[in-house]
Amino acid sequence: MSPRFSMLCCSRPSAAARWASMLGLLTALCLGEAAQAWAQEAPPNATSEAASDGAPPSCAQARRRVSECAHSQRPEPEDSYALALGLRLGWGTAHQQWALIGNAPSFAAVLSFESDYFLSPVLQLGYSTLASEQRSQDLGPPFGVVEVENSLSALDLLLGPAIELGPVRLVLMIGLSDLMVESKVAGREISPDTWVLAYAVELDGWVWGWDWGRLGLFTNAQFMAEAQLARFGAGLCVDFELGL
Amino acid sequence: MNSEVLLASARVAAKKLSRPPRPLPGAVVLLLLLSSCAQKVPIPSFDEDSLLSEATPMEPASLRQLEGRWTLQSDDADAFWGDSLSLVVRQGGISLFTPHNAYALLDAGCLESGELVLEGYWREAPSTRTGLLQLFVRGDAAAQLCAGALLDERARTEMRLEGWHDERGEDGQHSIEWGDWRPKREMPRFFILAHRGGCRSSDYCGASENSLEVIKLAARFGADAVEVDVLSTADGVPILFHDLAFSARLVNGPYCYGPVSEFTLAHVRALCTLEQGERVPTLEEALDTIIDETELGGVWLDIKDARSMQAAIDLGEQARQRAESQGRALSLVYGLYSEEMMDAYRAAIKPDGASCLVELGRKDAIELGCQVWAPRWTRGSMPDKVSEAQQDGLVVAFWTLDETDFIDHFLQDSKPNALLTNRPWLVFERYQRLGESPPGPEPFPFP
Repeated sequence: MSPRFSMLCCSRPSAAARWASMLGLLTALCLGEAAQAWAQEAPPNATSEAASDGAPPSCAQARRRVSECAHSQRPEPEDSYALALGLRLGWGTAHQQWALIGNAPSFAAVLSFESDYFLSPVLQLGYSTLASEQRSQDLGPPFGVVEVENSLSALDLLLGPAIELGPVRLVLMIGLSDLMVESKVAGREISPDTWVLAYAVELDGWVWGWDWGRLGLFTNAQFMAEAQLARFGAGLCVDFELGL
Repeated sequence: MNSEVLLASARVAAKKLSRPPRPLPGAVVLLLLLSSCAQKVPIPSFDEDSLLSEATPMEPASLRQLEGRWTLQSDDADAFWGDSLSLVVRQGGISLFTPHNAYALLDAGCLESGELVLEGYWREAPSTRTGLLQLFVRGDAAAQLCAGALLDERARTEMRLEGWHDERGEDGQHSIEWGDWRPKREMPRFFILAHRGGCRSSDYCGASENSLEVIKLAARFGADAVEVDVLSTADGVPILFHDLAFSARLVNGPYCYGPVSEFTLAHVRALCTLEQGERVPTLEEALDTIIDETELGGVWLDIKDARSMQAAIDLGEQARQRAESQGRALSLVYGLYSEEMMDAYRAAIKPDGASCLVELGRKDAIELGCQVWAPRWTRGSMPDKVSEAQQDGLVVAFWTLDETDFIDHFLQDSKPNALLTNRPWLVFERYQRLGESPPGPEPFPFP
């Protein structure tokens, strides 16, 4: 009877939940691959030595070389590890149970750890407005017709692996979203919020590269299964090499 | 792009893809997630094909002569409908309860042809199976029932329920027939409590949990009383809602997220609807509905936050007095699921004779002067403790039992006074087969 027991029940039908669950599985698979690579592959310096001995290049080496092709002015990093700070500025649509509820800009900062391994961990902190509205509504007695102003925004903290193939980077992430509601009904304001699990997939396409970073376009999809929310966005992305 | 590098990338990808698949616990979890989230179940209706629109409504007193146990006569339907079922008349309608977790809600009327027609839908919970059911009573039995007369012995012996049923999403109708009427087993000192006002939203019983609509269905599902969850809004209005926070699990609305205690009633009305579009009801509205629109005899107010206690007790007492003034028996018990709730109940100003229910230990119930001890079913059937509690004058109500095997075990092993369930129809039918009248206090605090 305690409310916490109810969390075990999945009572709502949702296509969004199914997609989100599938993405969760994919993320788990990729994380598993990363862990396996970490455990089984030789250390990065050993891999470099193997490559110089004429052995086939490792996947990380291959990735770096593909990346070189995409932005030829970008020199190969001397170090095997590098941190990159990325910024995302985009526009997206928000959907609840696939019905459009709003469209608005989004911002995100991305920290990625690049290495010789096939997968790179990525940490993303983002903010997006999902929906807002202003309307009159008849609430029935004792309230009558009242003015209603609402907005819904999300603060996301996401983590996951990235795979870089040539000028394209695919990132699968899982994390938490703080759904923040601001509502003013009949002159009284409330601002409740709640944390939900979030799953995201992002595709970056790098267009230009420089010594200090690269610039491109991204498209992403984010699913918050518990909230039955989905968000689809696109925009500009920029990565700055920080070194390590 | 360098062809050597491309080749190397392809080699790495091919190597990864060529690895033999490994068993993944994640895949099992995914399958469980997908299978547990079924689609909504629309309740089917006859629409323009209905014979009831041409029929004369029947008096409930006449219909009650159909109440009892009916034996299935058509062998091919045995697997789904069971060998026999219970028929009861509740709130002017007919309910059928099968032993395999299905029920049917029907309305009845007399046709000009002299037949008695019963029409409605059947559901198997919690699957998505549902369909239409149309039955007829013919011959002397129909003539006597439609005339409002008492059935004579011959008509009662020969009466049959015969007709057809179909299933949503499948073609064709299947004929079905019941006969061999026998009286139903009475259930003294045993009552069926419907969880969350009738059933959970996940059981797709035609209305959302903790809604006025599901409360109106509860008695037809076979319940004698309902359990509802009480929380207070930011402006102190007790509402019916289970979780401490609004989420898409139970409500609709793109702005309906966050702790219930931060929403005023106006915000709840403006931003939130229940899963099937109903309004989130206040406790006052729910109690009025129970009194005015149902045959329910009791309410278990499961109070989820301590600050709702006093308001719930005050509203409960007002409702009890209003029911009494209408000559209607209504028992209310205040559910206490934690030490915090017990402290809040101790501190509250209570009317004489207020009843409470403790979900913790039996001794807590006795110490607090509560009338009902409600252990969770996972503690086991505890026949000795149940018997001792009943000897101490407590009513014992287990929560929450939904599976046939467990219902049977608890009914037979510990003989409780009540079961809280999301499937009142199943408990009703299993009691008809296996139940024994439990000992209990007199006068019994529930109907």
